[in-house]
Amino acid sequence: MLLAAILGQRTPVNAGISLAGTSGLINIPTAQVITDQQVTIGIGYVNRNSAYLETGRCDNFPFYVVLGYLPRLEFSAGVTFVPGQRSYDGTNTYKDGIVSLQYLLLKEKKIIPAVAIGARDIYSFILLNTTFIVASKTILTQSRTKIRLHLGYGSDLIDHHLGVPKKDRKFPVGHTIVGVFGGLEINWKGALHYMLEYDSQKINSGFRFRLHPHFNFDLHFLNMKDLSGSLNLSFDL
Amino acid sequence: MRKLSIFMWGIFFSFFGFRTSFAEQPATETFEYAISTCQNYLIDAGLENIQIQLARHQIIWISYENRRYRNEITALGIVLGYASECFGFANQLVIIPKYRNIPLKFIKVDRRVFQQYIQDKISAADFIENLEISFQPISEKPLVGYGSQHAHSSLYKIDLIANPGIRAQFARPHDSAQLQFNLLTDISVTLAKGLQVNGQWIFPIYDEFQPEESKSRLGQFYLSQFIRFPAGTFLTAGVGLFDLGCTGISTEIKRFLFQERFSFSARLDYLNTHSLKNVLQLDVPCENNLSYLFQAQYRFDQVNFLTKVSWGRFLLGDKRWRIDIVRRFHELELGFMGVWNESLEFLTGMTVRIPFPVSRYPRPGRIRVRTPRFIPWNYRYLPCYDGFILDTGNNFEQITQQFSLSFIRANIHQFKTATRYVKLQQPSRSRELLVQK
Repeated sequence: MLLAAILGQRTPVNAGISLAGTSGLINIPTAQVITDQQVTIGIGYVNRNSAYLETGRCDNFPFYVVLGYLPRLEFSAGVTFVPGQRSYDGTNTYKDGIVSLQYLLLKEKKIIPAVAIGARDIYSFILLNTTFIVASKTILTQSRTKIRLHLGYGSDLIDHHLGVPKKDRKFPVGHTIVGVFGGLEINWKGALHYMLEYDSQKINSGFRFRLHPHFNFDLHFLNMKDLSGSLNLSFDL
Repeated sequence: MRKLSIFMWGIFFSFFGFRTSFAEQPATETFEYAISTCQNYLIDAGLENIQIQLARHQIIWISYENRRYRNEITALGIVLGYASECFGFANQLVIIPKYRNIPLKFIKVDRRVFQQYIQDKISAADFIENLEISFQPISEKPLVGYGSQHAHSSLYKIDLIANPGIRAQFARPHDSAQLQFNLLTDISVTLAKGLQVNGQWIFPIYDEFQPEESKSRLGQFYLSQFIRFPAGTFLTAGVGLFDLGCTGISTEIKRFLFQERFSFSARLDYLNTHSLKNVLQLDVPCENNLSYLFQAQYRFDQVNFLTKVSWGRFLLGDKRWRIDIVRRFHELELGFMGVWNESLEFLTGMTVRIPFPVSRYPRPGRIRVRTPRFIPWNYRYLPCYDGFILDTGNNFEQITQQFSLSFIRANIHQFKTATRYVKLQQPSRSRELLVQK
C-alpha cells in the first residue's frame, strides 16, 4: 500500500520496455508508447554474445529512463555501460549514451492496427541507430489470453553523427535494426507475457513478468540461447 | 447614528441587488465583518499586499501576493476558500495575484461553483470551464471607497534563500564527466512597487571544474524593476552584476496575445565582463557586448507545452536561431533547447526545473530563511556558449504561467489541498474594522 501511495494510483500498468529503452518486446520496438506523464526507469543485462557493443567480448548493461513527454510521444535517454572496455575518461568501463523518440501515429482500432514511428540513438555519437515504422495488431482476445502481432521496417536513414565536433564525424555511424522485423506476444492474464521476435538479424524469445502494476521483470534468450534480462519500474510525474 | 448607518447600507445593498436578508443580519455588520475577517484570515495565512474591494453585482475583488506557498494554486485555493466562506452574499470573486505588489492576472470565479467543486458536487473540468482568466480586469472595477486598504506589505522584508547549486558536464566525448556542488545563498528584498534587489554569494562545496571556481565568491548583485502596461504587456529591467561575472543592463518587454497562449518579446542587453574582486568571469569574456533577442512563444494549453523560437545576437555576439520546448508536469518542468552551430551543426541541451521541498515557507517577516521554490538545472551536451541567454532576473514567464489555465488544470488538486489550510476559527489578529466608507 505504501508503494502504491508513493508511485501513485493513476498509472495504468507498466508498459513493456525493450532492452534499447523504448517501448517494445526484447530488441524490437512495438506500436505503443508509455502513457503521457509516466516515467519508466530500468536496467538490463545483455549477454556478451548477443550484445551490440563489443560483441563477444563484453557484457552490456543498459540503463534507461523513458518518459511520456507528450501524449503519444515517448522520449527516452540512457547509457549503456560496457565494463571491461577502456573508456575515453580513463576508466575501464566504456559508456555510450543513447537518445530515442517514438511516436504513436495511429491507435489500434477494430480493423486498423496501431502504427508507430521512431528513431533510436539519434544524437551525438551514434552507434545503435535505427529509424523505424512498426504496426501492431491484437489478433486474439479471450478472457485470459491476448495475442498480438508486430511487424515493422527499420532503416539506416541517419548516416552521420549529429552534435559532435568535426574530428569525431569521420567514425562510421552504427545501425542495429535495419530491414524487416517482427514479433509475437502472448499475454496471459496481464501478468505473464511470452515474446518471440525477429530483430532483422536474429531470433530472440523471452518472458515478461508483471510482478506489480509498476514493476516488470524480463527474462530473455537472445539468439534463443544467450540469457539476458531487465528490470524496470514505472511511476507518474 | 447606528440606525442611520444601517439605513444607508440598506439602500446601498438594495441598489446593488444584494440578497442578504437584513432581518437576519444587518448589512453593515455583514459587509464590514466579512471584509475584516477575510483580510485577517489571509494575513494569518501569510499572504501579503492584501486588498479586498466591492464591485457592482455582488462581486468581490481580492488582490494578494503569495510568497509563502511554493505552488501558486495553493495560495489561490486558500484565498478562494476564505473568500467563499466570508462573503456568502457574493456571486462572484475576482482574485488578483500580484508579483512585487503589481497585479499579474484577473481570475474570475463563481463562488457557488467553487464551493460545489470543493464539495465534490461538480468535476474539475466543470470548475475550470467556469474560470475566467485574463491580464485585463474582467468585471467592472470596484466601487471607490468600498473596501479595505492594502494590508501586510511585502516591502523591506528580507528573504535569505539557501540554494543547492549543481553543475555537471557529462558528455564531453574525450574527457571525464565533471561535477560541481555549491551552496548558493540568495538574498532578495522588495524595495518599492515592482523594484527588487537580489544578491547571491557562492560557497563552493565540491568542484571538478576550473580551480578558480573553488573559491567563495559573489555570484549576483542586481536591481530589477517590473512594470505592467495595459493589454497584457510587461517590461522588466535589471542593472548590476549578473551570472558568470557579467555586469551591465538588461531590459525585456513582453506582450501576451490570443488568450495568453501566444507571446512576443524583445530583449536588449548591454553587458561587460569587468575584473571585479571576488567575482569569477565567464570563460569567454563578452566585451562591451550589445545583444538583442526577439522571441515568440506559443503555449499548448491542453498539455501545458511551450514552444519558443528566438533569434538575435546572443550573449557572446553570435547571431543565430534557437528553439526551446518545455513541458510542465504539475510543478516539474522538463525542456530541451537546440541551437544551430557551425562546428557542431546542432547543439542541444536540456533544462530541468524541479520543485524543491518544502511546499510552505515560514510567514514573511523582517528576515526569513527559506528554501528555494525550484532548482533550475541547465545542461548543454557540449560546453559551448552558443545561443546563450543570461539569467538577468527577467524571467517573469515563470510567475505568470502559474496562473495559466493549463497550469491550473495540471495542479487542480491543489485547490483541495489548500482547503486543509482554510481554518475558520477567529483570526489571531483582533477584529479590526479596515473598511473605508
